[in-house]
Amino acid sequence: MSEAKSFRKPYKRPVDKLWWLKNKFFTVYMIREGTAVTALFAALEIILGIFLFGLCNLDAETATAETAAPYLWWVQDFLGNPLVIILNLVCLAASLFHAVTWFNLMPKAVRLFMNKNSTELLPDYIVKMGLYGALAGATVVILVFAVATI
Amino acid sequence: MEQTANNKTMKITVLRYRPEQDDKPWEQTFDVPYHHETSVLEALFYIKDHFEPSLSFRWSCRMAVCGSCGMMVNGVPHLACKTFLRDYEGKDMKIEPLDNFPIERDLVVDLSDLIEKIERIKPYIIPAPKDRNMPLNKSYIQTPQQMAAYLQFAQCINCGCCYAACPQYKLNPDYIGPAALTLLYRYNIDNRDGGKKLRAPFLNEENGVWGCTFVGYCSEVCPKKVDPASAIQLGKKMSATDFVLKLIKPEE
Repeated sequence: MSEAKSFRKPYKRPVDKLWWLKNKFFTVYMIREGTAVTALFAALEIILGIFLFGLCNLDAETATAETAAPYLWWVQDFLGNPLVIILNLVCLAASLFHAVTWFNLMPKAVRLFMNKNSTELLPDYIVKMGLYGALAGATVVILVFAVATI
Repeated sequence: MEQTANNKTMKITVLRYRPEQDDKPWEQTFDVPYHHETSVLEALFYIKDHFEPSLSFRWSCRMAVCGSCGMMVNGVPHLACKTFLRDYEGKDMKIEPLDNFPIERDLVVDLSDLIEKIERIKPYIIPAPKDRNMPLNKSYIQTPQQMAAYLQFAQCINCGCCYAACPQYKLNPDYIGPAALTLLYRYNIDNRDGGKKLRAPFLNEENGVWGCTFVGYCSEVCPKKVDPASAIQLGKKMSATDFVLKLIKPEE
């Protein structure tokens, strides 16, 4: 063993709680993760609607304002509330932001060769186009369904 | 040097830490002259030669091959030899040791955690049982596609930039991290390798691929364009497939 005295004293930098504000990339990442909160709000909102629908008198021969009162309250008073409308617009913006940033990352999780012998990889834009196509398709199906049930 | 008429200078702040005297790091600023080709590493040489002989930093090849000179330049992990002052024209520069590692002295960090994690995942070809008695003078056959499958991930030079860029590693030092997981994936998909089972525990554990939340900054900063984030997401697929296959067909 060496007789030399060791001066080693490694310094561990403390982790700043606001580390994610120091770098734009991390801030965007945290906003993307934060969209989970707005997604939770949208989910709870729909669950509330389904629950209130269940509270309606479903055995009645014809649906009247009286038998459907809880559900009508949800549609007119709750969803019609300006504050809820604003919150829903925020939710929409957040989920679109999540979709765009997530779709930009997704090609990293796909690594396919063009064919059996090629060394060329499937280009990123094809993966992204597929995802945007799926998003557009799902939106159209939901809108058609929504319009049809009015 | 041809560029003599050019006497631009840049204010460069370097984080200093001398374990013998200092309790915590402190900043020292220098005015460094530079020309179009001056790299951050050369600026550090200039500081060491002209202002502060005691400044410590690691370097070796000066050409982005050895992976010694990883450091934070204005808060972003870079190889000092591959980063040029011209790209920071009109701005000040702040050089700090690689983030998320303990500082040993000035810009030198203790990378032993990274090295141990890379060793842990067995980063070498482990022959499959069928190749156990393969003569040493016989070579494995590999198609161009089989080589292309892993080649990009084999470019890692262990510089540690991805660890400095990883918030998961920052918050949980037990996370095995981008470079180790990339090398794990690189050897697992090599057609000459048969060591998948030996690496499975490190891939599947919570501090393995599942510790990654796909921030993606590791791929952004990687000086060799290895794309660790891609390897980790593909590793997640591998781990999930492994999980399902084990449910269907438990091991003997």
